[in-house]
Amino acid sequence: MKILYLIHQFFPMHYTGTERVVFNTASLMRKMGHNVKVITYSFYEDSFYDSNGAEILSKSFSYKGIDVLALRHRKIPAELDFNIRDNALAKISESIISREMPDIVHVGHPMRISELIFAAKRLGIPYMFTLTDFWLICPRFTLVNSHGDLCAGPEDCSACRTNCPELSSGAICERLVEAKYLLEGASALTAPSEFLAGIFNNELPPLDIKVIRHGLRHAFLKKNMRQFWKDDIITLGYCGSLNAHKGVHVAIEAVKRIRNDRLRFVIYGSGDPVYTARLEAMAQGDPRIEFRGIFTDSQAADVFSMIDVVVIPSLWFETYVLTIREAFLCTIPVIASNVGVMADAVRDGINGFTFRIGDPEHLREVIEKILSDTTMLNSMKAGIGQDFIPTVEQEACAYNSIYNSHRVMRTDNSTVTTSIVEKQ
Amino acid sequence: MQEPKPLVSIIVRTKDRPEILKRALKSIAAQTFRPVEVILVNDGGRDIAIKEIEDILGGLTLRYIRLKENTGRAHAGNIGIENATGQYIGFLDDDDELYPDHVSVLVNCLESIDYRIAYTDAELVFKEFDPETSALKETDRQPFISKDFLFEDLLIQNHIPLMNIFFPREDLDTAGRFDENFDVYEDWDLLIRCASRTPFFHIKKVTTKYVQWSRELQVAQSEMHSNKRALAFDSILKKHRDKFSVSVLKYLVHFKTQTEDLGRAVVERDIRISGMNDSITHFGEIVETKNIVIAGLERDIREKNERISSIEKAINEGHAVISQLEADLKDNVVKTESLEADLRELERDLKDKVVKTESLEADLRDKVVKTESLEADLRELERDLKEQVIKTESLEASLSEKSTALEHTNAVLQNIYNSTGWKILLICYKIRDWIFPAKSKRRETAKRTVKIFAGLSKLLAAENFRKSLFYVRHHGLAAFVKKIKTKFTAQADNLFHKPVVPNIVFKKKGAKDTGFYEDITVSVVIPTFNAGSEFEQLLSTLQLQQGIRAVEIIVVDSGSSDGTSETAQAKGAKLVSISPSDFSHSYARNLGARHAAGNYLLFMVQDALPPSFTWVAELVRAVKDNGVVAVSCAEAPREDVDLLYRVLSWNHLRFLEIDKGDRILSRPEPETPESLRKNGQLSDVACFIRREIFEKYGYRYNYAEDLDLGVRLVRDGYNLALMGSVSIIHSHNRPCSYYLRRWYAENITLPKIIPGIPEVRVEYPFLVCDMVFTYHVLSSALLTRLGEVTLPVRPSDLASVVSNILMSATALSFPENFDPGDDPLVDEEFRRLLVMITAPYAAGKCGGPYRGDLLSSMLSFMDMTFTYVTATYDLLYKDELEEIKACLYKVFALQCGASLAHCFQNGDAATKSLLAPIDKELMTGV
Repeated sequence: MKILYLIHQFFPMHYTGTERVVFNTASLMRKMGHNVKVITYSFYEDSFYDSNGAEILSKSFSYKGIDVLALRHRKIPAELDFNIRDNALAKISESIISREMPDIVHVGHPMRISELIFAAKRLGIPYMFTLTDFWLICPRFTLVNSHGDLCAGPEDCSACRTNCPELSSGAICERLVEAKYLLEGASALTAPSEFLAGIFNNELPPLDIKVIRHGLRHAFLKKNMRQFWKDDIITLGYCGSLNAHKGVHVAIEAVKRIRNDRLRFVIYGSGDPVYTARLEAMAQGDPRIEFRGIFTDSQAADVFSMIDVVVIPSLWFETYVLTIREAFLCTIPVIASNVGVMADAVRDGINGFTFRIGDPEHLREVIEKILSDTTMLNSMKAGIGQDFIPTVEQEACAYNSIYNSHRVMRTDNSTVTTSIVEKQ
Repeated sequence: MQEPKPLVSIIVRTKDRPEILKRALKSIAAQTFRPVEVILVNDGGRDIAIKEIEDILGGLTLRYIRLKENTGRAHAGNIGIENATGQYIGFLDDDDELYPDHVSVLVNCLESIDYRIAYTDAELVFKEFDPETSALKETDRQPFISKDFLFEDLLIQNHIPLMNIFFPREDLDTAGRFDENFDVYEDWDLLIRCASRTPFFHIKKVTTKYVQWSRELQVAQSEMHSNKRALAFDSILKKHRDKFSVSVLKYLVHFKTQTEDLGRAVVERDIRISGMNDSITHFGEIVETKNIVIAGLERDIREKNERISSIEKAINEGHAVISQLEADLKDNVVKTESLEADLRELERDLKDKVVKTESLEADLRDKVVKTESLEADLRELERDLKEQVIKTESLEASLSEKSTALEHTNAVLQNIYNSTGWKILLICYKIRDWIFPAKSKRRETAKRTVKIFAGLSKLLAAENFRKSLFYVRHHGLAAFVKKIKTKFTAQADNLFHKPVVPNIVFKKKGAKDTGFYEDITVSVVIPTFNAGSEFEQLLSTLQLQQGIRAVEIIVVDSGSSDGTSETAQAKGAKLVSISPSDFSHSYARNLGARHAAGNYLLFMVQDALPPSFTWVAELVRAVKDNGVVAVSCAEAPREDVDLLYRVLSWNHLRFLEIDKGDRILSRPEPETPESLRKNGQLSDVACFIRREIFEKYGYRYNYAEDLDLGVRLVRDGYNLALMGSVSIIHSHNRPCSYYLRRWYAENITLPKIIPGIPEVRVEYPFLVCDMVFTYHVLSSALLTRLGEVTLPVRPSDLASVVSNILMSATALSFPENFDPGDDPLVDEEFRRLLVMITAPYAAGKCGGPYRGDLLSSMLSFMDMTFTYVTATYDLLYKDELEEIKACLYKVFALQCGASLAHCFQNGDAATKSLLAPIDKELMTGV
């Protein structure tokens, strides 16, 4: 069958969690014999694109065996990341989708390309979502309000009016209606964690959201067998994007408050250049803190073999955190913020520690506790639980079952049985 | 594509022992693993003839550092580390030697386990100088200490020779390299520092020779240096005293206690031995006394023998009486048996009557159930009748419409009948009937003639002509005639009959069907050998299976050295260990089944992975709902699958007809090789079978044992199921050499399993020319042309390029020599095998234009490949083009394997003898 993936950004320019999930899935579907394509929004220079004079620029290329169609507004609108509807893209969305004629559309992230979902709906093509953050119900996508506090959800946009007054309340409510329409019209909804599914169900019941955990490449990860003695040197590690909501500055601040030469802090990743510059300035003069850039999946085993404790200082709930699963697969304890999926995965004193979100002083206390007796890490390594972490193939097979049960039977229209058609 | 192997650096420290050094270096050159570099550090000795050393090392990289003065072993070691560039670092003293598999054992282990440092075992070899021969001679051999790693142990005793251990480069740097304050025990100090950071893995295999010299030759063991050792020992203890934790001290106490216990045991034994000597003396005196008694007894025996003779006479008289009594007894026994037989007969009659009574009762119950069912059916029929009435009314309306249409049609027909053309046609029919009367022989002959001409025109198409020629060349004229006969005596519209395999429809789950099979326990049998890091995931997924009462896992391991056995035991699996030489695919699985406790067996392979937690339950459902005895399923690929495997899987699913659904397989009619292959398909990647059935049949053969089992089952009347809707995650990415071996083994083995597979005759010299020519076309013309393709390209366009090259290649000349080249798409092993197989090649012997079959076989295969590619890709880019190039070589490899198998199997005695070494080589390791 032909499967079309829709996503807000993609490789090679963007390579964070959602992009990796879509790439892994598309790649495996191709290997299962399906015809796949990714349509993504993009931010390349004008000269990169093929179309001339059009309102929407486009470029077709291949990324590691996956056909990609990259789109971009000639003039990127200011509200691109807020709006669900977009007039310019709406004008050509049906022609894009009908040219591809997929059997099913799988949405990796609806931001910037939602019009293509509406087009698929109009053309009677079933679509499904894999929810990876809160964008559909929260334009800030993190459920963190203007004050920097965590939010329980829009509560039918009443919470947005109160806590994010800079956002137009009319637009917020309209946006929520459109999101509900798209979600309820989906043939299937999946999410990588019960927490994420719970948040959506709380706001828009009753959505049948199936939890399918993101898979990992087990072959690229090896157990870190190091055993600790009292007063050993400890290497703390952060692996993720360098953006403000990830809270890396909290971790740097905590490390700087510790006067102990037996601590190292290595930072892997890249992101917002302004934020990254701020982090580097904070770390200036402290030889214990090193920025080591990015690494590929095949280098993951070597990277994790040199880290003793992983820190996840996120300032929002998160929705899955691949890095926590990678760390556990390598039997590395984790220190994480005490909210959302992080609090679900990290059990204080058993497989790691939690600390108060955004509090560098509390994080400092946790790290000092470890440094005072590093042998405690040995029992934590043993305590890293039996949580099942699927492989990328197992995740893909779960999606494949959904595709098979919901795809349009184009050879015989009379046997179409998808929910989208029934609702029409 | 194969991952590049890591570089290994071996550091050799030497001083003024050039001859002994050569032995050590020869042992490095003999290593089976590459790449290896040698760092030779001359610690202040006389200069060495480097040319000679380079000749010994062959192509190995040599870095030679000569220190002006003797700076000590530690400093020399650090110089070696500084100059080493390898990912792994090992050491070798100039008087020790490595066995050829030393490096490969360590590297293969470290690349597949979670440990960073690993060590093997050594063999102690004692040598001394023989003045008579003026040479070194070996006086004794014994194993060196072989102990699993325990940090506490290493703290008090160095039991790991430095040459037996491999370090990752960064670990030596982090640990701080050798401490140059140590003249001796510098290695032990380094080991302690490394071990304090990460545990070592012990590989229980001897891979080095640890030479011990006589006192005259072993400087380090001389009296003069014993003080030095003592001082160094103290320094070690002082330096690492912080590591003597409570657990270490406890271990020391335990060690001391054990030593004292051993000492006490020795003393006790000495006392016992001394006691035994006294006993021996005492027993000697007793023996003398006994001899006197024996003489007396002999006298008594003589007297008794005389008495026995007289008693024997009396016994003989008694025997006659006994014989008579025995005859009487026999008569009575016969009478008794006859009565017993009558009694059993009566018991049988009684049982029959009881069974009949029970049967009648069961029939009665069935009839009651049937009556109830009939009543339900009757109600159903009443509902259907009502629906039918509605339908009938609808049909009547439709009929009325159709009547109108019929009237119209009749009017049209009437017009036709009244037309001139029709009248002329009737006249023609009359003429025809007059010339060829109906039902006459002439009429029948005419009909057959027309049919034959129609058939002949199809048969005489160019394509059929080419196929026929091919068939005659390889199968012979007799087989060709037989095949033609079969065609003409079969039904005219079904000449190439493919056996029809029925669809299955799963029963819908009833309201009471909870999907839980509480009577099912599944025993999963997995043969393993170095299963790798993902084996744990397989075990975890199996243990989390839902919908059945229990899963037990039985792992049959044949000598893994990467921790597979330990992983299995840690996950609670039952472990059965066998030696590698005992392994065969059948034996391992049959052995695992004998250890099973479940009522169903599931055979899997170590690199398969269930896709979900309900996968086993789906297999159970297939068996329970459809009355089959065994089921297998399709495969979903792993991420690293190669294109050829994908094509083969896709084509295999189409052949088995499960690309669109699921199938029940039963005994085919007629039984042909193709229908048996299709209907006997079971796969050990995932084969779920009722245990009592498996116990009756078991596996046999060392290859295709699963297909053999399936064929035997269907031929004995059992049904199997094959599922396309359910998959197991499994695939391979193997090099060309694998496909050569695999297709060779398959074509050798299949005729044993499936009777009637037609013989294919291939002459060896002919095949050699074919292989060389086709490889030449592939590696030069085709790959060059593919390199010129503008990307992206449509699959159909690329298919045209490939087929044009292959079809026009026959115009090329045979190459002068066979050149395997150095394309990285072809693995070294395949190149080696090709050279071996095509050794007799000579361009002059091939003569004339190309007339082989490999090119057309490749063409057909690539047609199929591009059918698959076209369905999956709209456009092909660089990555896909590289995959297709690799696929071409692999297709060539598998075609060669198949042809070679036919050559060997159907060749004469001389050919079989000539090909025997190749056969042995190709059948190994599949």
